[in-house]
Amino acid sequence: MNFLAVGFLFGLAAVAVPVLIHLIHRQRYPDRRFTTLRFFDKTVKHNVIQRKLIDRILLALRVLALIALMLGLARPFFQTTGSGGIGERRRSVAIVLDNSPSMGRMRDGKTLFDRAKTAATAVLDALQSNTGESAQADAGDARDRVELILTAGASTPLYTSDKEALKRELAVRTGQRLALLAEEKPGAAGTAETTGAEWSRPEFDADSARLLAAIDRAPAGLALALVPLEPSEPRLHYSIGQIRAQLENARVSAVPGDVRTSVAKAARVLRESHDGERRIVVLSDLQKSKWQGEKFEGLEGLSVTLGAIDPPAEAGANLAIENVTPAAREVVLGQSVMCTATIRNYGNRPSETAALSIVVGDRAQAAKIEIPPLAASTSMLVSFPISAMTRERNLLCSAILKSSTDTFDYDNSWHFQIGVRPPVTTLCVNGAPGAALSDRETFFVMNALAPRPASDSATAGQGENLVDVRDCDANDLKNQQLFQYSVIVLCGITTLEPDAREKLHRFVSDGGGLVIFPGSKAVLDDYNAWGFLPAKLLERKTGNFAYVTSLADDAPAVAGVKQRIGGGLNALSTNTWIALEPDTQPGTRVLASLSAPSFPALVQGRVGKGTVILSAVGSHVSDSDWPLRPAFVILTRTLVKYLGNPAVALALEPNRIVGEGASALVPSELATGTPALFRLIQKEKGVGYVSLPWNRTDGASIAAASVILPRATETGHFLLSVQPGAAEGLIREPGLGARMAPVSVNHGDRESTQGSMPMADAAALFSGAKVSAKHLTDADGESGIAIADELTTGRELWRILLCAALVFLLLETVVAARSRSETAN
Amino acid sequence: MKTVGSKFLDPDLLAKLPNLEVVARKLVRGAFVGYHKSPDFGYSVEFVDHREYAPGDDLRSVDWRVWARKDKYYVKRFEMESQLKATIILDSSKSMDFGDGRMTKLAYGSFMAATISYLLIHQNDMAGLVNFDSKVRTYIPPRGSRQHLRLILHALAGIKPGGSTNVSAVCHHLADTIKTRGMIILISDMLDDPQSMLTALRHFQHMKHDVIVFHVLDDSELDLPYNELANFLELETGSRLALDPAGFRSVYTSRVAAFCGELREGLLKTNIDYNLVRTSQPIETTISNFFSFRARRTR
Repeated sequence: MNFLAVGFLFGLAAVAVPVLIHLIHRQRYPDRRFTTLRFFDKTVKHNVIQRKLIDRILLALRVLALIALMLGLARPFFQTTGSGGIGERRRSVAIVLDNSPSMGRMRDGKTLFDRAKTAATAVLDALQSNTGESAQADAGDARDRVELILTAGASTPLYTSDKEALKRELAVRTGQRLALLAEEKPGAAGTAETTGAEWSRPEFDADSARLLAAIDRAPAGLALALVPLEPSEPRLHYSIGQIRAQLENARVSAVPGDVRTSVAKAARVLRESHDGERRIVVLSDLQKSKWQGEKFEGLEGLSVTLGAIDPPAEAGANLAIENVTPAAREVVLGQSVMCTATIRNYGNRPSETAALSIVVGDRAQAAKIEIPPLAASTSMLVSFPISAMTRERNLLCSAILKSSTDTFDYDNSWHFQIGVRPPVTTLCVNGAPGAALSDRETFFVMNALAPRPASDSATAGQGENLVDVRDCDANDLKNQQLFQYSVIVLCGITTLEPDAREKLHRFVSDGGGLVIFPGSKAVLDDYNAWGFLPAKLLERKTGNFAYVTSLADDAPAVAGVKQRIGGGLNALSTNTWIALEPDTQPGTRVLASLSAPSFPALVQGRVGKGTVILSAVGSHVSDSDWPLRPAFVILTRTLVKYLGNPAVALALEPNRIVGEGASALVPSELATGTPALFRLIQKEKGVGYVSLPWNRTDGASIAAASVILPRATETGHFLLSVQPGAAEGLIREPGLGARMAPVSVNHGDRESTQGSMPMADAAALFSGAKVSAKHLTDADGESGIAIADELTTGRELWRILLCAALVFLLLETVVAARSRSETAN
Repeated sequence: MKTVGSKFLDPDLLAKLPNLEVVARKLVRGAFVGYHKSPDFGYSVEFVDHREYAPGDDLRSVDWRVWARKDKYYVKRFEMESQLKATIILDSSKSMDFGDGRMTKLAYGSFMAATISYLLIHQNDMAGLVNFDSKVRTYIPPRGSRQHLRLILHALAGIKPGGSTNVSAVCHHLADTIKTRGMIILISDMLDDPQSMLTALRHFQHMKHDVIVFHVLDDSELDLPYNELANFLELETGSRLALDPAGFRSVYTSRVAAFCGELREGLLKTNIDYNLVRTSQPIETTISNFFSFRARRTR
């Protein structure tokens, strides 16, 4: 025997009250002095016995009334199985609701998930109706308890302006790390105008008192949401209304479901219950990919109701994009990259002709590719080019498959991104004004930086071309607007006028790149007077044969050159060169060395924000053999590429599978920045941002070298932004100066496989539990009611007991009244 | 200064009884002239003096001449009156030491005895006191002096309740002891055998005494007003009886009424005055009513 409200059993102590009164009353029988007993006789004794008997009867009635009352309030039940039990059972129910993507399939105009929700609602109704509980109540212990466990994680946070509801949820989640977010939807109650700075910043805390105070401070009408920052442990709730609200807000997730973990959670929470009815209600489409495996364990003593939401009767074709692979992760602006999409038909029937739309960036017009019919369980590769025609650093692309007969559209899209390298605008300064084309000092450098066909062995594999290379004469340098260029290459400059020298200095200090090939006519003293060169030009060596012997492997400026040049490095030889003496400034390093002992071929130095690379050799064939060597092309392009692309994006994997988490390295200069995560949405004009909750370890800004992203629960394009400095308010969109890392999240292939597991096989997985399995085929929730009917309550003994208590009280009243009447007479 | 026994003489009580005369219904023989008719002939029956009129006096004895002169009513005394010898027999058994009200039966009886003694002595009669339980404990023969009154009061103050009631034996003994005819005033709760008590009181009657019985009972004895179960403890014997008085009240009261009725009937048959007195009743009322009643009967 057990009780639903054990607390009332303490009320049985009240039984002692009438007993004590009776005993005390008996002890108070006085020794009454009286003149004579002559007028009394044996009938008096009989009367006393009768009176004592009445007293005891009254005592018994009072005690019985109290016992029946307290037992009735405690709601007893006998822990028996089946519907024949005596007494009421308090029920602990864990509803495992499959919200994996496959539940989004349609059947008869209604998704499987909606059908499952209807069944779950019927179960909640049964619990509520049998207990008579108010949906808003959250106290007391005489009611059923329930927990809702979603197999595929939580959906988007629920925003509400009901502060009391938030406080109740906060009370339930005491001790859990939560974020209190304010609604940021345009037009919602809490718009940017009404939220204010204080309310536009999330509160992160496990201190419920602080969050409670924050809720109280919130302006009236502002929609707020409590977002758990860590997985919450399931627990049984008395408030069925709260579970109902969770159910109403549950959505089909993009994350594959994990039935095994969810059932284990349900079993764990039910094992801690001592209620008479402990039941796991599993509502799922029994898709094979989720259910196959070992038997569930730890279900001994529990009851399981398996509600199978049947998939569409005739599963058709299921086209899916398995993946899209670009030929190159990064392309130069204006170039094209070939992408290959793998299209698979997971269905058991051939597909019909479908269309593959390729959405690139914020271009309104998508390219469409016709996909021919695919036989069941076959795939095909579709190649398509994507042109990098955008100024954005990353080109966000989506491939969307559209088919009128597809039964499952969850896997019909694929999101990917292609890095776009902006052009390195380069100015080559000619030191021999008026010379013919091939005699110009810039001729060979311009040739090296010119766009190359992909078949060119010198540039093969780079996947890039430097465009917008211009040249000018040295005497025209002072008239050039240098801010337009990323890199300036000085070729065979003899001397520089002070104005031009100052202009170059300022250009480099502001972050520009400068490559200097002095040439045979260079005036060394003039060069040494510039003041921003990384090495001193000592003397011109003529007739001394020298060649490049080594490259600094760890120097980013020449990274990969050695591997691509191979043995061609030594081909960079010359008879005329300048002896350089590197200075000792920080950042100065030798990139390449000549065979002549201790003389460098290339020296790199830092000037302000920019970089200067000084060569010991000229860039014209009149000075050396270098321009004639293919290695010169590779080396020059590498140097210019390095100087023109100093920025490095946040290190973040560009693609993820939904459900995966991620961390992003943060550059040291942004270590005090504020991270923000956005979901990119396609608008009519351009791209919009929806801010998402993110996780961080501590404090108001980044303290560690990485930002932890929550696991992705949706597919699509996302953007991690690190704002420099501490932001006062919620970051609503990627701000100026922020370092951004885009990431694309795609579906896995688990949910794409169709086919349900036979219900008998699925039921057999619940070893140790009493399992009943049902097919939920209707759309109006009757099947859910059938499940609810299994939640038997037994006879409601508490009503009988309360009636008995009432009868006892009535009898006591009658007997007492009669006794008093006799006394009065 | 109050004397030892003066606690039984309440001035207020006495003030309410200024003109009360103790009138013997029968002629008694006395050594001194009192307010009572003497059974002896040979004394003058002419006018003796005047006495202020008291309610109950025969209007024929009012001296209208005096009224005409003084505008006050006086009655003329024509006959020789003898002194009354009254013996007050007070029951002091344990059962008399009971009372749920403001005083016990014994205290009530003592007040009565003191008051009657005072009245008698102050009208030149003689009063004596007998205190008894199962036997006579104190015997003070009737005298008429004020000192004798103090003696009676002192004796009353010294009475300790004790012993069982044996009215019949004591009455037989006193009937043999008191030779001179007079008034016998018995104050007792009469918790004895009724027939033997009647026999004993008839013994007084046989000895030509004028007998008055004050049956003093407490309200609790008459009504049994208790509701709670109690172990009733008999005062004289110490025996116990568990009793639910509420359930037995009706039987009890009927039995007490029957007992009192039996006494009353038996005493009235022998022309003995019987007066059932509740201790809740004011003493002056009791005495005034009774003796007024007797005065009326005498005339």
